[in-house]
Amino acid sequence: MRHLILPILLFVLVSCGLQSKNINNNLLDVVPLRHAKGFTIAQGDGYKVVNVVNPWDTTHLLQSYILIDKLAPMPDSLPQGTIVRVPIERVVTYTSVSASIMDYLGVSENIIGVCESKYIPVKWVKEGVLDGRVVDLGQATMPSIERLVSLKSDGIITDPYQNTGYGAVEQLGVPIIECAAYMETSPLGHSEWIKFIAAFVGEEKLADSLFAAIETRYLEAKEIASTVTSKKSVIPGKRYGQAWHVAAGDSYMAKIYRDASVSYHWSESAGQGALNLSFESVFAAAKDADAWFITYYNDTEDLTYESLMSEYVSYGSFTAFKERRVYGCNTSSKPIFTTTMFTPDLILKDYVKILYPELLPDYTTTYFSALN
Amino acid sequence: MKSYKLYYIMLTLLLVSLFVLNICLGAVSIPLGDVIESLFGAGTNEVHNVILSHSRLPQTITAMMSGAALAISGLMLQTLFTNPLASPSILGISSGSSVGVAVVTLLLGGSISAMGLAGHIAITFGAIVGAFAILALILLFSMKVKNNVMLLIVGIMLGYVTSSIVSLLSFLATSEGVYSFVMWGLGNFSAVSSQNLFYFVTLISIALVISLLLVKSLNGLLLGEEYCENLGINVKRARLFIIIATGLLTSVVTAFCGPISFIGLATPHIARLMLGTSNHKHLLPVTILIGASITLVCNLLSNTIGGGVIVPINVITPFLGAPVIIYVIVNKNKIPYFNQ
Repeated sequence: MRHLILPILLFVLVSCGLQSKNINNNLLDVVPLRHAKGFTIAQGDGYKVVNVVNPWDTTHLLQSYILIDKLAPMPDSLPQGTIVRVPIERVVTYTSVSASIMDYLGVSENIIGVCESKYIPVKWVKEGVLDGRVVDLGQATMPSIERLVSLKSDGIITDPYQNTGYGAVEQLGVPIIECAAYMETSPLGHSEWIKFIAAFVGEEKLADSLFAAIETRYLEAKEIASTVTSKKSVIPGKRYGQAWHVAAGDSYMAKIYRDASVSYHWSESAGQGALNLSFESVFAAAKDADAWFITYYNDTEDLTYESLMSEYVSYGSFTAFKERRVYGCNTSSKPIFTTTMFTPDLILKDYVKILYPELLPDYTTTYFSALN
Repeated sequence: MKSYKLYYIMLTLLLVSLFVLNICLGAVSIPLGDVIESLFGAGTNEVHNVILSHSRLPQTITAMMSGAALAISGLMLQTLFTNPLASPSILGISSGSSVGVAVVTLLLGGSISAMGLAGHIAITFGAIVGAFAILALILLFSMKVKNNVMLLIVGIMLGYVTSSIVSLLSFLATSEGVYSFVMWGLGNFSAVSSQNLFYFVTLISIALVISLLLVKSLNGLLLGEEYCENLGINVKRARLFIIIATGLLTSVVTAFCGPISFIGLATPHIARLMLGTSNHKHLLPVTILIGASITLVCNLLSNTIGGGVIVPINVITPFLGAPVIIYVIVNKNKIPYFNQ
């Protein structure tokens, strides 16, 4: 019997630990979210609970934040979680997405520290780093702890990554706000994370109205695309090394294709990430696809038919290549990954305009343009 | 006098069979009749024609040449340093190539595959400079450090230094550049397009021919430098040619296909265990045949075991190479050549 005591004790302890991280907003007024699956907001008595669902195990929480107004007294009883006094006014952000959301909500001036400022397309940050109002902490994976401490921030916003911690930053006593927007798999769900940041910076009403406008624009574009009678097909991306990554059937991009009435060969494949395929798999499936869309980063020159051909001669065998229907988006000049959160309708319209130009006669593409 | 004819015949048949399998099998199922028609220019299915002529054929030839090149490099390095654990990767030569490639790609901020033939020439040049720099350093240390194990440790240390330079370059590079470099590091026999294949095969063939002409020198080096000189071999010149050949073979393969691990280390041991001789007259060609066969197996597995999904080459090579090395180390007392 005594051999069983330790395992039973461990089981009880582990169960208690897990229970504290289980999703349970039963006693609170849940603020309805329309599309996002990765977080919840609930109103309590004198506080809000913002839960972030673990993207890699959706039955558990990644974080639970208890938001209490800075000017309000501390409630007598609070649920378990990380207490954050809001609105946060001295913010450190590790990522361009969260900095852009703050800019979108009109609170970019709350940003006092960033990581890798060269990738952050926010005017306040660009200028602030030059004149010293904003401190660049270096690499997001290894920020300068000394600079971080000296900033006396009241919140650090970052993207969570699986099985990685934040090292010494966790010991500073500053709340680490994990914004898992990038793991959201629907375009509007991704955009709805604006409300997540808004809860911390006290701009909920503005976020609600901005998101409602995004949703309306997106659904209008989707409605236009739904009138298509004969769907056109696409080739997604290009090879990296030996593998050609294509979006899996439940991924963000697969949903964009669906909403744009694109016939996507891998739409039924399982998974929310990417499939690593060989050239021959992609070629056999998409040789005669109607158009080819490539998102790439190159800060020196844009992709051309010539450079694409010299990269891999077999690209020239696709019909879309032969008939000059290849479209590129150079993310060094068009920050699609950052701005698509605020304008998912524009990426949708880009696909519709290129594939079915008659449906959007007055629209000019935003991200994609024909290769030279 | 032992006859090795049977080995040559068996290994050549194995190589040809694996070559045919690599052409016939892949992510897309192509009927044998279509394969034959397509290879003889009579194929009517355009998808199959492109897959066979632009993808499978160049990839198979690249894998075969790379295996031969890395295996023979490993053999020559093991003889040159009289060290059975020497190989391009262990001695840091592949890492030297990686630094050259990293400087060209990460510092220039581009993606490896996006650079075309001019890019590949720049990368090959970078890889060659990196490989020869490390080889020269190893050779310099080999004159001071006579102990084989110590020399290996020097090689491993040089590998650490080069890795640290690569880490620094990666740290400073763009995410796209880093991603491209990481993918290159996983190994890729499909990186040589049908356009570049001629240059790749020519460079490797020249270095292989140089290597095959070094039989007498390599056998002489096995006896020690003094005996070697007594046999009328110019040791300095022999060393120089061995270094040029191994440096060229390793750097060209690394530049195009990434740092492929274990082939250079394990293959010479398989050849020695199979033949039971250290005579390079037979070891060199047999090592070439075995090296080419092993990489063809790796390429086949990489393209087929994932059911359409690619499995990187460097995920597979350790599974084939590491057991051989462990076997050799565990049984070293029973293996004659290990104790010479």
